Amino acid sequence: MTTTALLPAARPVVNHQGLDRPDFTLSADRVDLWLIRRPTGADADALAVGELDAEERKRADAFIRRSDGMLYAAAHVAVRRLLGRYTATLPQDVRFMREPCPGCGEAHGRPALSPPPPPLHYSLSHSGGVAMVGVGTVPLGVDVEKLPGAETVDICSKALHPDEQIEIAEAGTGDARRHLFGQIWTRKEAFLKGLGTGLSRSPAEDYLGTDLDRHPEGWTMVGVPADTTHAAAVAVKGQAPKVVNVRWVPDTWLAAGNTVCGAAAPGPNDTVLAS
Amino acid sequence: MTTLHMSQTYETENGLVHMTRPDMAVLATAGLRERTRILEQYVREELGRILGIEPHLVDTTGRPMGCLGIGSISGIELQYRMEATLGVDVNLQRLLLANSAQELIDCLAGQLGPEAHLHGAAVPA
Repeated sequence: MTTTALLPAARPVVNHQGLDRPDFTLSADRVDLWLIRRPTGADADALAVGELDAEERKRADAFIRRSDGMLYAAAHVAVRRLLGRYTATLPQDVRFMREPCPGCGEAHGRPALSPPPPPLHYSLSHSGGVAMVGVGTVPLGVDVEKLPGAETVDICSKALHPDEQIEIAEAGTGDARRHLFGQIWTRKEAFLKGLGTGLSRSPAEDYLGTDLDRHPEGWTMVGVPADTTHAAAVAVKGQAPKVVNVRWVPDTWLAAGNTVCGAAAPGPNDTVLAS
Repeated sequence: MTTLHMSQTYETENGLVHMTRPDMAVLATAGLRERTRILEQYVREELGRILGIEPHLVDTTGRPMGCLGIGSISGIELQYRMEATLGVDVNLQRLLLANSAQELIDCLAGQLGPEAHLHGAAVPA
């Protein structure tokens, strides 16, 4: 009789420094993550908002805080330019749709490209001056959140899984507690976005705490190094990717006038982490 | 059971704003118009706290919640604060997807008046 030892699932390697120039190819072994900072000054003036569709421009203009609208616009310019590079499509010609909701079947599930270009899947998140786009060959979800204050952590922890609440309560006070909440929350929201339910599924239902072995089966959740004021995570469906590459998109890459399609077009270089 | 500390003041660039808890006894007996007025002031204060602006500057009619700056975490905070203050259930998904703060105010006004006790809450969680 032979016995087979069950090996723990391999965790992806997260690369965020010294990366090669991106080639905008897709691989089942890899997830690409792109971080975008809200442009300011001349970079904000140069943002290629003309590539957004009417609905996106209307939404960008509707934010009560101009800074939120600028981040929204930059994030959507980035999505169009990035997905345009992966699919050899002009940014303004990239079309979007909603997949069916796994809960009710209505068309408000995961955002996707239209018509679907298998096997590309993407996800977008933005919060407090930073946005993140995830691109891969399987369904995925990303989330980035500005770390909330202590009182917000106390209040919002009550919405989490009971064991997550205990872990946060045991984390003491101060920054450690805020960071742990941010890590758990971004893993959770990334997972719920990957599922396609979003917050229509209770945040208390699934455990995304510090014990990775207890995370939902069939998904791999990975913390993403963003900056000192944000937490970020990606959730990837199915077999864990071998590699997660994290890059910052330079503001200049989002400027009007840049040629962003075609093999010779400039792309975001390997970039460094925010200070 | 622990009691959450919820501060009743917040800072704006023009100074400190003191929030006023609605009088639940008044809400329970007030007519729809008065109830809506009280709840509008309360929701303005809660949104103003999240946005860091004075309550009267909050646009309650022209913007969806996302464009007011309400994301997932601030949405849950708003949900829990309103539930704790008003004693009603607030549906998070409906809060986040509301087309305006006025939609939220109208929902709360329906849940809190005498009509709600007679006919059930207008907007159940």
